[in-house]
Amino acid sequence: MTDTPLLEVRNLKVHFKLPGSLLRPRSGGSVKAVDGVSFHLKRGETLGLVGESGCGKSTTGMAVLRMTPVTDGEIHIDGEDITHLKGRALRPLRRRMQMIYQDPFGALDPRMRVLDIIGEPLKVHKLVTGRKAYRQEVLRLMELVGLLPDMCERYPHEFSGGQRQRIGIARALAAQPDVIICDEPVSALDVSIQAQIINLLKDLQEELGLTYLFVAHDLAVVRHICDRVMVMYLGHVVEVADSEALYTNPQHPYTQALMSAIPIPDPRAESRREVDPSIEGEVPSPVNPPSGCPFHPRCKHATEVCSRVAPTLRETTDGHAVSCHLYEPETEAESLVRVASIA
Amino acid sequence: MTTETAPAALTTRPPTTPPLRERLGDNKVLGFIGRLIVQRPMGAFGAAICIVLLLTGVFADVIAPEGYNAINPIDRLKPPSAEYWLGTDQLGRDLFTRIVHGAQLSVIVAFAATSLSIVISAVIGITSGYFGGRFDMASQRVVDGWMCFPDLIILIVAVSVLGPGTWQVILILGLLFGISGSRIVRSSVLSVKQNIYIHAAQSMGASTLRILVMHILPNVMAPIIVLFTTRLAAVILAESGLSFLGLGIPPPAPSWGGMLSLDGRSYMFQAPWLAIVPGVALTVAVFGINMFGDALRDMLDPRMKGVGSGRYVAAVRRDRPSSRQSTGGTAQ
Repeated sequence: MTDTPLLEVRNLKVHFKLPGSLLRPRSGGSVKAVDGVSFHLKRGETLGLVGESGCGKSTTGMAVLRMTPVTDGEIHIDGEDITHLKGRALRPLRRRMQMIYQDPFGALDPRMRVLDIIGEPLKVHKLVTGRKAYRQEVLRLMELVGLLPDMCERYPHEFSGGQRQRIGIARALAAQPDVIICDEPVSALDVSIQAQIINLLKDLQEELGLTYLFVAHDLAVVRHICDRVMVMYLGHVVEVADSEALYTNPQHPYTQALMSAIPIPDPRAESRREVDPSIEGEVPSPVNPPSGCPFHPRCKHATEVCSRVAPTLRETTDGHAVSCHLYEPETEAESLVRVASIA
Repeated sequence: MTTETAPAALTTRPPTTPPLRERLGDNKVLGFIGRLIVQRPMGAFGAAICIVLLLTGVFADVIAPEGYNAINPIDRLKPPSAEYWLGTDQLGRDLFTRIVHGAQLSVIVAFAATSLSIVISAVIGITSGYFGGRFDMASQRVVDGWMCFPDLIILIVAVSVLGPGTWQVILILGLLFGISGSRIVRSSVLSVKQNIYIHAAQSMGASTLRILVMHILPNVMAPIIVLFTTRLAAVILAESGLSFLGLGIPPPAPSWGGMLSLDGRSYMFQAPWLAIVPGVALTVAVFGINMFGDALRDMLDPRMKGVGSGRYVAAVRRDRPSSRQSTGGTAQ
């Protein structure tokens, strides 16, 4: 692993303007889908992005791909700033980042044969010359993801969900990208197929040294595949840590609540475990986020400070960062709260 | 593999005849015709009518070498006979010859005007639908404005400016149908561009032209083909209507509409065949084109390939778990 991270995102903000009224077109405000997210991704690593729906995890993925306008912040690939590339200048970048989609039924053009679907990046970026080489490359990719070569003349509707996802993966691999953004790649699949696809992604990573940004809401899947996990809430990063550290020692109250919501595949264990009642209510609207810490209205440890001052993401132990006042160097008032929460 | 087994299971054939697919081999065109006949007999019938119409148009001079304006004053208004298969008109011209040459005229006008209209529809519809925003707004208001005028008014104005004649009719009908048809193309582009595979193509770095031609166009082909075939029939009718009103192709030319209006109407009671024959020719041509168009639309959808006819079968196949699993089993 090199010193400069492969992908570095600094203070990324994606705000979507809402339509205002006719007379005051700017009155609509904006949805702060992503509001100041920073992270980095080392080569060969898998970073998981988790959070409930609407927390901005997919939008972050889209912004990194430059498929959605970035309001503020910087995105670097190999040290190169790509935040403001436009038009033709974006095309080499598009080769370096590919995406695997959630819906295996919608992500493949129904009018194209598998041969053309998988090979499209090859044609778009002129990576092979000649028909024979093209076909050979596509067949190699198909074999890589576990598809039979004689399937290449078929159309997507002739495949099952798992097979289609394999086609989508082969297409993403065709361009030999540096980063693959997986947007919930298995959540639309049956559980048995999920495992196959997850293992395929892992094997491919080992074989080809791929780097994944893995957006998902299934915490068990994320734990299995990710080296590090980033938890998002309402457009903010609340906690980042190595997978094992996060799952064994979640620090942010929101992460703790998430962890307690993972189902245990054993009814007896499930009934014995304490149900953490810490999360109540709904996610606040990203148009009008709460002041201070975005989680404070639902947090049982919230104090007066939380509603005034937004906490910053800071490292507590090596590689484990959390954005919560509870873990900040303690002032007198906060230490009292801490004692109270432990008690 | 479901594709191979499905038709065999659905169409029960006597065991002595080998399956259609085997007899036809792998030839795509023959296979397509075979499936058309088996699954869409009415479509095949329509296709046969279209082919007859086309061949009649192409070989008009061979089939009826007499010349459609050969006047024979002695044999005026003769009923159908061995000599004059479909009778003669008030100038003693052979009606069969005129109908055959009328087919030629109809084929030329219909294909030229429809092709023009489809190109116009596709270009306006695809660009307007895909780019959206202000461009869409502007172009759709122009289309709105155009469609506010009744077709007939536009036709009358255009003919009075350009004068009657074959190419004028082609131009005007092409433009008229093209602009109104762009709406249909645009609306299906609007739904197609929402698909994730369009997003995938964009994020892959495909150029806009490539997305329009390789992804949008093939996926709006079904409505375009339907548009083409319905417009083909409509153009034949419109051309006849124009000629009927004296705005189309001027008289000595054997336009079916002109024949209906001039000779047919004037001698409706003395010589009813003068109205019936071109009327039947028009009806059959329009019917055949429409039937073929419908069948073509269904057959060209790859999701329907190798499936028995109708939506019912498609629905059954989608819901049948066994076929899914059998395809799934091979790779996994």
